[in-house]
Amino acid sequence: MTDSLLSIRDLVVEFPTPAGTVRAVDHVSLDLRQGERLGIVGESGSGKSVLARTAMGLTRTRAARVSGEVVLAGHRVLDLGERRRRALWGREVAMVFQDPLSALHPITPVGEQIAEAVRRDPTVSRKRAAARAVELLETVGIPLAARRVHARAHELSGGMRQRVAIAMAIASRPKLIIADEPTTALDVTVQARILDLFDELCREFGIGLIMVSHDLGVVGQHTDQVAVMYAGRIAERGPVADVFTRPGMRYTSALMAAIPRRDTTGQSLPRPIPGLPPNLLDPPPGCRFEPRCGYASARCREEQPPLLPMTGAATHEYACWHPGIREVVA
Amino acid sequence: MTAPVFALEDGSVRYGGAEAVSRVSIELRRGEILGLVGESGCGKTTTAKAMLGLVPLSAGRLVLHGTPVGVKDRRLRASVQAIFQNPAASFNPKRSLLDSVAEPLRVHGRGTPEERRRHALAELDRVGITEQMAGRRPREVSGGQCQRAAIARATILRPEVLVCDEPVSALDVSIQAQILELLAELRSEQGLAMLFISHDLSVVASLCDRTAVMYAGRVVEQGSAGAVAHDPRHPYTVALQDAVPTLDTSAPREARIRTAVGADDVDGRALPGCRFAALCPSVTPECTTSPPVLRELAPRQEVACLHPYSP
Repeated sequence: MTDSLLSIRDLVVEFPTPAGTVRAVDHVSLDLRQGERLGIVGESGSGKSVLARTAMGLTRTRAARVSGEVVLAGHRVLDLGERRRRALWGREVAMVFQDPLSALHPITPVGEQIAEAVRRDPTVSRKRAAARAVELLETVGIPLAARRVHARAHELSGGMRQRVAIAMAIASRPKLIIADEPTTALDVTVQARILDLFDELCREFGIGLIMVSHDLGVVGQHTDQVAVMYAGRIAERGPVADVFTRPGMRYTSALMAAIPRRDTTGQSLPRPIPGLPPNLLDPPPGCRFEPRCGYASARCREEQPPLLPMTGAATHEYACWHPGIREVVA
Repeated sequence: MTAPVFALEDGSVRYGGAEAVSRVSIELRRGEILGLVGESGCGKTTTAKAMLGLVPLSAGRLVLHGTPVGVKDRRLRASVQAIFQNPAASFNPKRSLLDSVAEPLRVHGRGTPEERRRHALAELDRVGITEQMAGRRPREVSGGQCQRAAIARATILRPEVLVCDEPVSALDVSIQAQILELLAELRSEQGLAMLFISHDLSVVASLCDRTAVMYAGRVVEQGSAGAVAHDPRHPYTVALQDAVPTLDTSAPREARIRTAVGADDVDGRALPGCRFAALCPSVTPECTTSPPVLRELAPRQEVACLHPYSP
């Protein structure tokens, strides 16, 4: 594929701990094309953040054992040295975190921080960078940008801070933004504005987006492709509309049924998933969801289901021995 | 409608010079869960603290079974219990869940140590914590299990009212649904009256019987959970519901009203009239003179707005 932006092949990320080795990401392969928006959903400990961070080369090789292949805009990320990997950050890929306050310097005015990001390109003059900071704040929808460049992070609201973090992320015109739970700490009305901003940036500048989120609604409405992760593996992936209307893997449908819905008011509670996610120090040998699944058989206990395409929908893949495919009346 | 078990009448809370909560009335009835929703800083947690007697009221009063109670009244302590967002922080990290759950019995001088132990184990069993797990410390169990233990501790004295402040916000959805199921059981089996505070409108719509919406320290709309979710009338409630990303195909895909809420920082509390006036698309000069009061627009639906939204 010529327009491939990110290609992950057989990625394994393991963390040695005193109690044993935790395999946080287990043989994951993913592809993202330019300008495409991919949502990675899953619960705590499913490996979604580790996957996203490893994709941009943020996982420290001293702390983790990483194998597989990550090709980001033509660069083999895992083979690069520290310095060359850093050179990708900002220009090829940028990250937006959940808590913008910890991503921003507390005392330096936000305009200076953005200008600093702009000046990763050495040909840009100091004056030009300062002007560009104002433009960028306007791009991310901050009113009175010319005045707000002088503000410090703590003087801004949570939504404004996240906008500043996004302005810094797009300062060097990256091809890919990785956003890890970017709106989880925000109020819903603020979240809606930030998600609209991501949509706009992807549409107007052709930026690719990986949005890591626990919120299926956020991913459902603001991405094109989705990967559902469970216990370090991809349980299901495909176009968002397909996956959420015709989930194949039993975990996906159980997760969807566990979400409280507004359309079923009054004594219509979401259906819990019994039990807990597996301990990654000692995961089940077959399907990772088997201990919690109501449809599991002996085969599920013994044999790990492969990720296979759904009949008639080549891009929609799921890993399940006993899929329950039916249209979900959402 | 039955008389409320517990009520906050016209309550206000001041922190220094700022009024966090202004003339809020909340009525909790037996076997009914009232959802209290709103965004950060709207005063929902302060309202909960006021009802628990943890912050003093600057105006208004608490009423238990029709009679006013002071914040230090023992009746309030025994009848009104609470659970919070981060259960691990509300437990003594060095003690077992069992010890912590038995503690209220000890404080109230109930039974012998062995009776208290058995009572606490039974209570833990009821919320799904096994005897083996009961011996663990808070950090040795998952967030969901810890919240179950917190519920056991809150209900062991058989209170009539349970105040829940964001009890499922820190939990994963599969675990969140387990806790919601448990709370619904307490409602139907013990007839508990509950105040359920949440920023998540979908959680409130699926669990609660009634919903109250707060904005800038005031209740702007309250009614049956279904009406507030599907037929909101206050422009702020409409904007709030529109902002929720959802997989529901029945939810409106386009915003029903145009407002800058979420984009602009406006201190609604500084306004003399309606606190939403600066962001409201339907604002008229009358809105800015005096605060609108809650009035009944439909049976069981009250809205504090001069120009309620209609589709």
